[in-house]
Amino acid sequence: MKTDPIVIEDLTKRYDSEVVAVDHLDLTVGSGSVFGLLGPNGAGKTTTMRMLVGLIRPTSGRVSIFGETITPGATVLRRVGILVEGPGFVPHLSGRENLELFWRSGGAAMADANLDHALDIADLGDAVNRKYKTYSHGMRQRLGLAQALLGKPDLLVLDEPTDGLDPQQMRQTREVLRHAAESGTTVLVSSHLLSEVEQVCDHVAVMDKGRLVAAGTVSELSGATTAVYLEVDDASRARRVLDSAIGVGKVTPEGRGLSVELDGIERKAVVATLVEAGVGVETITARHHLEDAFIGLLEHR
Amino acid sequence: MIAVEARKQVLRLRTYVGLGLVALIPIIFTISFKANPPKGRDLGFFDLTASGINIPIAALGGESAFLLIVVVSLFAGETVSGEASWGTLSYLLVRPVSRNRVLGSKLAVAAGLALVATFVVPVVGLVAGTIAFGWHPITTPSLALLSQGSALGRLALATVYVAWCQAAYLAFAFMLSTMTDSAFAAVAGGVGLGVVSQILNNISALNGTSYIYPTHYLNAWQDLFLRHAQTTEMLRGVILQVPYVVVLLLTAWWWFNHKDVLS
Repeated sequence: MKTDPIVIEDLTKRYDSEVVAVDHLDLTVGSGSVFGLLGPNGAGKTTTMRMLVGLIRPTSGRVSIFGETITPGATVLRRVGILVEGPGFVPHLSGRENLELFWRSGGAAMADANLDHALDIADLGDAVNRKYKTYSHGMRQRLGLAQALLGKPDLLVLDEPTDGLDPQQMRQTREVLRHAAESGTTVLVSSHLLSEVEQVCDHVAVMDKGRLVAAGTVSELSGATTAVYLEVDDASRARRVLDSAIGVGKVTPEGRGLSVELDGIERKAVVATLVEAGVGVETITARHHLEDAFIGLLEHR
Repeated sequence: MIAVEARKQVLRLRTYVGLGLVALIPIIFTISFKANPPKGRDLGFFDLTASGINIPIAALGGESAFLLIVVVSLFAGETVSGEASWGTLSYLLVRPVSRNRVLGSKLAVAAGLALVATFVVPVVGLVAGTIAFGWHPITTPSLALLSQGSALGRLALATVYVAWCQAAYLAFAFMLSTMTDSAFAAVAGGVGLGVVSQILNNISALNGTSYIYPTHYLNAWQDLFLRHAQTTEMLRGVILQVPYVVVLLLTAWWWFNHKDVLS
C-alpha cells in the first residue's frame, strides 16, 4: 500500500482557525489510474493539491507520494509533474527559456528534461521563442501542461488543466492525459466540469466543502442513480400518469422532454404504463451520467 | 540555482532602468560642472573641477543619500514578491529543492545586483570626470594632497563601505518580499526605511539615539579623504549593519520556510 502514488491520510487545512478548506480527507490514488478530483468551486480541490506538492502545510494529517511524506521541496517531487491554479511563467522570457529555467531550478540536467517532447505537446510553433507575455490564454495553458510533462514524470498533478481552453484544445489535452496514462504515468486531475472527468478518468473522488463525498470508479458512481430521459407527444398527460404510477420517483420537465427518476420500476414498465394510458413515447434514453450522480450527491447533503 | 535566478533577474527592463539611472547621475554631474564651472572655492566640499577623480567622490555622496536606496530596494524587494505576481513562485517551490536554497540564491543575486549598482557610480563618474577634467591628483577639503593612486584606493574602499551600509534596507526590502505578494510594497518598505532613518537622524532632539539609525554612519567614508584618514566611524558603521541584517534575514528565512504559497 505504501507505494501507492498518492496516499492522503486524515488531511485537514484550517485557515484562521475558522475557515476549514480541507476537512479530514482520506484518499488513495492507485498506480496507473487517471484519477479525477471533482467538486464545485471552493470544494477544497486546489488546497488539497497544493498540500500534495508541499506548497501549503497541512494543519493536521499527512500526504505521501510514492511512500515519501511530503515536505516543502521533498526529493520525491522530482518524479511529479505539476500544474496548479493556472500556468505561471516569467513574462520577459520565451516559452522555451521558461521551460529550461524551470527544469534547471530543480537542479536537474537538461538532457533528462525531454524538452522536445514537451514542446511538441505545447504545440506553440515559432511562438516558442517569443516572449511569454505575448502568448494567448490557450498557449499559456498548453505551455503549463508541457512544463508539467517535462522529464516524463511518474505522477501528474493537474489542477483544472482544461480551464479556459476551446473544445478542440480540450480534446487535445484529454489525448495528452490518456497518452501519459498509457505510458505508465499516474494522473490526478481536478475539475469542476463533470463531462471532462467522465471522458478521461477511470476513478473519481467527489469533494464538497472540504470533505470527501464519494469515491470509486466512474461506473460505480454513475450507477448510484438511475433515471431516464423521455420525449413524448403529450408531456403534461405523461407527467400526470407517471406521478401516480408506482416505483417512479421525481418527474421534472427538461427541454422538450421529461427527466424521470426510477425508484424500483423498470424502464420497459415505464413505457408500457405510458402507452397503456394513451401517451405516445418517441424517445427513451437511460441516464446514468456522472453529472446526475454528482448533482445528486451534492443535493443530498 | 544562482545561475537560474540571475537569468531571470538580470536581463530585465527593471534592471536596465535601475542601473541606467544610477549611471546617469555622475554623467549629469560632469556635464553640468563642465558647462557652468563653479567660481572660487565656495563649494563647501571639493573643488570639483580640479580633477576628474573628484566626480566619482561627489557622485557617491550624492547618490547614496537617495537614488541608491531606491535601486537597492528595487532589486531586493522584487525578488520573491515578483515571482508571486508572475505566478511562478509555486512552480519554483514544487521543485525538489529546499526553500533555503531558493531564498539563498535569490539573496545572492539581489545583493550582487546591489553591489554592481553601487560600483557603477564611481566607475561611470571616474570615466566621465577624467574625460571632462583630466587625470590629476586631488586636494581634499582638509587640504590634503592625494596622488591619483592613493585617491583611487580610498575611493574603492569608500564604495565597498557604501555598498555594505545599504545592507539594512536591502535586508528589510528582502524580508518584506517574502511576506507580501505586492512587489511595490516591499520596494517601498526598503525606501521608507532609508528615508525615515535619514529624517530621524537629522532631528537634533533625537541626537542621543541617532547612532542606532541604519544610515547614521552612511557618510563616514568621507573621513578617508581627511588629511589623516580616519576609520573609527566607518568601523561603527560596519558593525551597526550587523544586527539589522541578522534579525531581518532570520525573519525572512523563518517566514519563507513557514509560508503557505497560495499564488
